[in-house]
Amino acid sequence: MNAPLCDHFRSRFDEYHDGLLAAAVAESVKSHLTACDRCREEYGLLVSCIGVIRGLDAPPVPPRALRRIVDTLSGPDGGATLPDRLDPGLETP
Amino acid sequence: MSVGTARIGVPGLHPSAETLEGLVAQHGNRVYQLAFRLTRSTADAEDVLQDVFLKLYRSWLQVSTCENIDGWLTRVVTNACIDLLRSRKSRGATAERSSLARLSAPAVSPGRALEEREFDEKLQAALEELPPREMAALILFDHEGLKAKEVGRILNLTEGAVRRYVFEARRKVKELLTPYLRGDQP
Repeated sequence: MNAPLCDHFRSRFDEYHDGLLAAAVAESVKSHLTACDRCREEYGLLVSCIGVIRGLDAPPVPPRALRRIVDTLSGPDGGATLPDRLDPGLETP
Repeated sequence: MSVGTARIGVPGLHPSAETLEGLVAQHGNRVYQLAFRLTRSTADAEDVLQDVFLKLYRSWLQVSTCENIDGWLTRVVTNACIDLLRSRKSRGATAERSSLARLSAPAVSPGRALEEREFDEKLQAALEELPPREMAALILFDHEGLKAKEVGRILNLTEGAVRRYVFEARRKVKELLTPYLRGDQP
C-alpha cells in the first residue's frame, strides 16, 4: 500500500463507478484495484453503499389517499374547499 | 422514475374528472413513493402527494401543455420535499421512526432482524443528516437513475454541482454505514 497513491485513486472512485473517467485513467484505477487490497475493500464499500441507496424501498400509496384527491378535486366545488397547503417554495417549475 | 415524455393535450382551466382520475391512477403511486424516499415518512409523503395534485389541478393550463409530465411531477415533488425537510430541520424534528425500508429478504432469525433494524436506523440517521438538496441529488441520481443533467434541471444546479452533491452524500452515508457494511458493527 502506498498512501499518497491510494489517496489519489480513492479520490476517483465515484467517477470510476459512474463511468466518467477517460479509458486510460479508468484502466489505471482498475489496475490499482487489482493490486491493492485496501483500496479494493474501500471501493467495495462504495459499491455496497450505492447498492443500499438503490435498494431503498417505499410502501405503495394507500388507495384511500388517491381516492380522497380525486373525490375532493372533482367534487362540485372543484377543490375550492381544500386548504391551500402549498408552501411558498413549491413554485411551478 | 424516468423523465419520460407524456403530453396531455387537454387545455382548460382545470382537468376533467376523468382526466384527473387517470393522472392520479397513473402517477399517484410514483409521486407518493418518491416523496416517501425523500421524506422517509408516510404522513409527509401523503401531504406531498395531496399538495402536488392540488398544484397540478390549479396549474392545469400550464401543465396540460407540458411536454414532460413526469419531469414536471418529479420537480414539484422534489421541491416540495426539500421545503418540508428544511422546515423539519429548522424545527429540529425527525421523520417517524422505522419508516424506512430496504429491498431485502425477510429476516430469518431474531438476531438477523435486530441487525437489520439497527442497519435501517443507521441508514435513516445517515440520510437525515444530509442537507436536503444533497439528499435529493443522491436519491434522484442513485435511486431514481436520473442523469446528472436531469437532476440539475430539477434542483437548478449544474451537472458538475450535481455530481459534487452526489459524491459528497455518498461519502457521508458510506462513512456512517461502513461498520455495518463491513459486518463489524458494535
